[in-house]
Amino acid sequence: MSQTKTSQPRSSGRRGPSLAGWNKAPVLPRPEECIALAGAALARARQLLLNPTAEAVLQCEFAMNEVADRLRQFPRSLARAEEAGRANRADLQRAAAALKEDLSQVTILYHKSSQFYASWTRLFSAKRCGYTRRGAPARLVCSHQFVVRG
Amino acid sequence: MSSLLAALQNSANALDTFEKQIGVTQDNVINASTPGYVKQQLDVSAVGFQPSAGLYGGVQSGQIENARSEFAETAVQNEQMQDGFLSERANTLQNIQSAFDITGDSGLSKGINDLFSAFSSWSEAPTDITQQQGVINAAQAFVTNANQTAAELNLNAASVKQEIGVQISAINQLALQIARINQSDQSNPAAAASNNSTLYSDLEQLSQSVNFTTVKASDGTTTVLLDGQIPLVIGSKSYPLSLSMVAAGTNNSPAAPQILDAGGNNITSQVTNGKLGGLLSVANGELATLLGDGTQNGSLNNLITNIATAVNNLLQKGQIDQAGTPGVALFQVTNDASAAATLQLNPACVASQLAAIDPGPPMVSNGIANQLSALANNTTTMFGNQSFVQYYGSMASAVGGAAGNAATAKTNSDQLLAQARSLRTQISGVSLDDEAASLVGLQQAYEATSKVFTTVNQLMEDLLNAVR
Repeated sequence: MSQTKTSQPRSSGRRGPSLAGWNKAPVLPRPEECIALAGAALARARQLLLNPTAEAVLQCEFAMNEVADRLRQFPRSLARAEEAGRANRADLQRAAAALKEDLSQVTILYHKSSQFYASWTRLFSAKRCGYTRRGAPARLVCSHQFVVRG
Repeated sequence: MSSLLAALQNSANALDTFEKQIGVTQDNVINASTPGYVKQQLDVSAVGFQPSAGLYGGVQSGQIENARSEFAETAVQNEQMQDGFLSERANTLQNIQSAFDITGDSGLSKGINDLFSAFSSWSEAPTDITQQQGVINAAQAFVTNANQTAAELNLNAASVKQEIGVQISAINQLALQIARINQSDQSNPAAAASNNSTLYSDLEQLSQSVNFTTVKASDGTTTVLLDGQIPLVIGSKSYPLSLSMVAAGTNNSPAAPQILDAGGNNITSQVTNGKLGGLLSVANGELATLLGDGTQNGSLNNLITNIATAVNNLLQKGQIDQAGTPGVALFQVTNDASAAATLQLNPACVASQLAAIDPGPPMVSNGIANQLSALANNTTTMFGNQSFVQYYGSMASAVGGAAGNAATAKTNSDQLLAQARSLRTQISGVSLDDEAASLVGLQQAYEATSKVFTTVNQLMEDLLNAVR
């Protein structure tokens, strides 16, 4: 049995994903995409806040950071679209108004759950740790808490 | 010997404690799917070890702590009240909205437009019998539309009244059940903990219907106060509400629903939330604004009275022929809260008796018909400088706006209710140590997220300014 060698394209021999274009600037979404992506991140935040555990609230922070990133991209994206004559102000106004409404709802969910826990923590602290001399609930002490410093 | 007694005492305490723990676990397993039940846990505490002072260590059970916090229950109840309020407002306002058509294709708006179109056509051929008959036909259609709109709104008012009665029955039934639970707690305090799930379930249902607060009495019973003041339940006694329909004025306005407490006092203004609050807000708000109450005739009736009176005044000012035969009124209309429902054509006015001639001077053969046609665009200060058609449009859009706002607010409220239920589950059935750790973690998570929310809200304002 004979073996035939076929010619292979030359490669650098480096394995793993291609890094071609790694130093290119990220693609700037169109203005309507910025709003849509911010809306999708807000929807995730809303879903997380419907069941606001500590982990969910932290995840919510990530989602809100994404919203912030998308909103930061918007002015540049709008400027670029206007230069190219592609910006539809009426559509953007409608989308922005809807996004604002979504943000209001998510903010209410955030504040409601935050108030709930703040009030519950006060009640719980008083029940667990008593009151300070000034009559305020004592600071909640957590026996499971590890503090790493340095 | 004393050490043997101490050991026995210690073991007895421990056995008693474990027995109680097993009991609590069994309750949790058995009741896992019982509505309103939350996991209960035994509060176990260490006994100090100081034999000289008679303390031999070990564990003892404290009171069984119901993990369900009054706090979490109250949060759910408050959201439930708001949700009930908004759901009734959204439903009833949507039904009322359907009585209005602002497209001009049907209903009263079409009736008004067609009437003025008929006057316009008639003004071009005032002696043409076909055009005259066209005016009579349009006037009859306008009458029918006004009557139908009033009938639809009155039907809505009747439906709201009926639903108010249903809610009052539900409230009274739940108050009675809670009073029975209180009675059971009084006669058997040991059963109080196991009654809690039924009590909380009843209170949650009650919060759908009406606003209330609860107070734990010293005997362990739950006092329920409507709006924090009016007794619904005290101890083993419930205080039923009742509905009274009161004719509020002399202007033929529909009777207004009033809620009376067990002593017969009018407490309507204190019912501000829950389904009952939502129904009352529509009955005494939007419906009263449209159909009238003791202090006003209602916007629908004002509109009908003004159109019919303006038409009648012009026709009666005119004359039918050159001989000076005076014109007759086209409509029979009242100036009260029954105007739309009772409007009818004047049987004495037939097509040939329509007065098109303005006697002047100078006499104009179609002068009155022209003025009737122009009424369509006349504005009156009474209607905020709007024409009749514009006033109808603003009336309809006010109802539509209120219905839309209620629907949006209901969607938000649904989410807040779901969140409150989830929060209740989270703080129920957690050990005290776990709870402390969890709350410290949450505090940190919220502090971190708070900054992002502030940033995002600022960026959102920037975005809105950018697209303006």
